[in-house]
Amino acid sequence: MRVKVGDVDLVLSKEYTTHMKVLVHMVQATSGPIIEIGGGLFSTPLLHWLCAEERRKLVTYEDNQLFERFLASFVSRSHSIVMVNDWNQIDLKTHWSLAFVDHDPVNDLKNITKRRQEMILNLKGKADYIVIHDTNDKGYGTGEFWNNFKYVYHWNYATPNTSVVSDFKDIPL
Amino acid sequence: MRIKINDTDLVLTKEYTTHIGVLIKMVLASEGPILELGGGLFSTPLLHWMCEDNQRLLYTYEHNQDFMTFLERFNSNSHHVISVDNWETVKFPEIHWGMVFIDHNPGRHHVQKRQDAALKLKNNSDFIVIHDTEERGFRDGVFWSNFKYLYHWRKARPYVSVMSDLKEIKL
Repeated sequence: MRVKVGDVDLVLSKEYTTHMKVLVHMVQATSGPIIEIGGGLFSTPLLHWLCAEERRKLVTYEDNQLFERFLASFVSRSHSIVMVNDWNQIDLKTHWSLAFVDHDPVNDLKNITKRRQEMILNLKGKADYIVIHDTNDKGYGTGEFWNNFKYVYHWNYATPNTSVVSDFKDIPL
Repeated sequence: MRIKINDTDLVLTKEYTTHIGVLIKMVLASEGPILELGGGLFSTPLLHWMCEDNQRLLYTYEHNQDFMTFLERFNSNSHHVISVDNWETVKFPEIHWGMVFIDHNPGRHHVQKRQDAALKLKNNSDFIVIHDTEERGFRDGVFWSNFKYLYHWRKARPYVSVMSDLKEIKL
């Protein structure tokens, strides 16, 4: 479905939503702070309401100004929205219970998978679980990247795929 | 965020999403087929993916054709997305529903029509979830007295309520 946001054409499709099952499950299987790398029309509301009642800490990072107003409406005592110009600005000092990586860096849209892999490796050791969307992209390959992690789970039920990696804990899926 | 879908102007806001927490809990707390009256950008994908893995039966009914192009993509063996011409005459499958989610906009008197839908479905649904229950037509208590079990989620507006005549609501 093609939608117009201001002057920008945006296609809303089922493909943007295939992370939902895994995200719901992983949020419910964990209890600590969550970092969302790349806010979304679908993931940010989902994470917000999954965390809201228990005031679980949630930080959403996004670099696309188009989404700023929508995302800003979710700011609360426990949910921060941080607009970034540089993805190196994210908080890697906190140990995150769950990280969700689904960003499309606006200044490097041709290398999304490469940028995401760099982000995931930066998060390695700093998050119990890392959930990654769009891992059917051939840039992930079949082995080398995944070998960086002790535990790996691929949800291939629908495309785009979603994967979960961890160096700390078996993946409860 | 203002979006335009064909001829429909829509302001996407947090208010469209306040049902998410209750919906997730009720999908997990219930068993059996789910009926969604009024598809949504947020509720339909969520219900779809929560049901799809284990092939739980899900029916989504929507009358706004601008949304149907999005919703129809979720059709599958277990998820039936159905276009509605007239909410007054639409017939739902005569089965027992594990959960019904009512969030449709049938035009004028929509609160009354949502209430009518809930009453029509109450004897063959374990749980009925309704969005936007802060609206005036829900305030006087008369409608709620039709149900044995009630739960009102009022932590953010629009509110969400869950009713049942058959099972206790554990939220």
